[in-house]
Amino acid sequence: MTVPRVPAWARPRQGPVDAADAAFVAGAALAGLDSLLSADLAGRGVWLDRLALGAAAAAVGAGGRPEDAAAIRDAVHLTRPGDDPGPAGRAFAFWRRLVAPATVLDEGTILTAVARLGLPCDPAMTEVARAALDLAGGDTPAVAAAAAIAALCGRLRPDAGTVGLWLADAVLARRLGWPHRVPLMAGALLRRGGSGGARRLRTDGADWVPTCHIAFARAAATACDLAADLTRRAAALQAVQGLRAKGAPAVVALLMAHDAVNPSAPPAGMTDRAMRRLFERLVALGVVRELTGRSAFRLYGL
Amino acid sequence: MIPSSLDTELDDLPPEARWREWMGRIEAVVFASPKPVPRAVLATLVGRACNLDLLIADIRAELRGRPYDMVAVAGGYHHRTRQGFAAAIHASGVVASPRPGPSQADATVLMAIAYFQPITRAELGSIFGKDISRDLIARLKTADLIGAGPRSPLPGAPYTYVTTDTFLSTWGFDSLQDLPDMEKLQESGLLNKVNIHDRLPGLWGGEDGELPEVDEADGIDFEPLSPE
Repeated sequence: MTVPRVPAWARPRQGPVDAADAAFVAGAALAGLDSLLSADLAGRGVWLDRLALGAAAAAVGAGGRPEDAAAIRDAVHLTRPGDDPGPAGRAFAFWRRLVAPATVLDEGTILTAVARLGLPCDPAMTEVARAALDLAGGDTPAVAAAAAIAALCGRLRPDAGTVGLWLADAVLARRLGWPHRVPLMAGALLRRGGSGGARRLRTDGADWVPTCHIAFARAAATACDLAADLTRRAAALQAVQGLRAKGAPAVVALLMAHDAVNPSAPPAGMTDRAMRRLFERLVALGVVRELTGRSAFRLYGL
Repeated sequence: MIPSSLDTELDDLPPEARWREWMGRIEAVVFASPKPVPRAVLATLVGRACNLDLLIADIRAELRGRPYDMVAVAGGYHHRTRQGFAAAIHASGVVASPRPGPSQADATVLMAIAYFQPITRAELGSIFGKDISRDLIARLKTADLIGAGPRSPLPGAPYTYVTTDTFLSTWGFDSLQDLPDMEKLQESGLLNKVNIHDRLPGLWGGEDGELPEVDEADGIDFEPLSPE
């Protein structure tokens, strides 16, 4: 199956771009992503989960915390039920909430997500949430609406810049009528601070809307490339014949839906040992990768 | 959690009386609770049409000039005495520490956990240049200031430790971003487990293995806001 690609001419070049050109490439790249979202592609779950992980890593890094994507993955998979995954693990949960199809965007879900992230919910945040819902249901052009909510959040709650980007992604998806919310802004806009320092995103400049156009164009191109790669891997995994382990279909389904799978948490009816053997076989077949590089506490994924 | 028998809409009351009743309920619940009351719980006590933020603003406006206030801590609301009265409360001895705050040494370790979480006991030991005792960790845990985080992917899968909401509320922080001097530490690149150990071996570890005093001149004041 061919995955829609973003053409090379719609990928923003490095360096200054004028506003009209920025809007043009954003439109082209988002159209590419739009056709990708309406196609029925294998591995959509793992794609969204990995984009959420990327957004969380960018947000955590820009907040001045040392964790990278691998450390965030560890935090989530090595936390026992009932324990606290820590700030980085909470950030991943926050972005996973954005992509979860079950998440219905309303004031309650937004404020709950913010509270679970560990940020206070004050009247300003309520105002931001309401503005996001208004913009999502309004008729402002999509990217302008997304830029507006990120800017409002940056003004009212400068401590919660990543919430603004989360809402911007949600607003864009709703305005474009997408079946999924795709994390785009954080990965394209947030940079790890110099020597671990926090970087605050400037959302109040005159060039904020063109900046958003470029960010969406770049992020959409990256997301399409990731989808092309993961769709190929997902197809290879689905094509594997002769997996005789009892829980093999369940494990394959887990791999298709998640960034990583922990072999010590096997699906019902399967032992740890059987799960480990199955993963060893899948790795030997070259359809699954071990993601940590460790000899213990391994995690597997496409 | 809230019995459905509680009438939250109060349609039979005129608007003004309804507002007063809602204000009373919110303040009563916060007053009765030993811990900060999450916003979500407060929202279940009032009618759907009620703007909780305006309601709380009204309550706080009434408390202006009183020696206590209803403040937002750790994602909820809690009654706190105003800071100016700390000396009087302390001198009276009526709150002779039923739950004493952590000692200076414990607080220093707690601060390291707050900045570097999730962190294992061994990693704490390498920061301080001395072994951090299990007893110290247990004391912080018993006081509900730290909790278990993700297991570390090392032999034995040691637990890491993370700070709790109680930690935030005890020191009056709203979120971890409020930690003192966070930005200054970030700029100097110290907020990194590897950096801090490589660049400043034995940063806090005195020769005699004693933890040094952290004084207020350093800008890190870990005294609780008011005795509880």
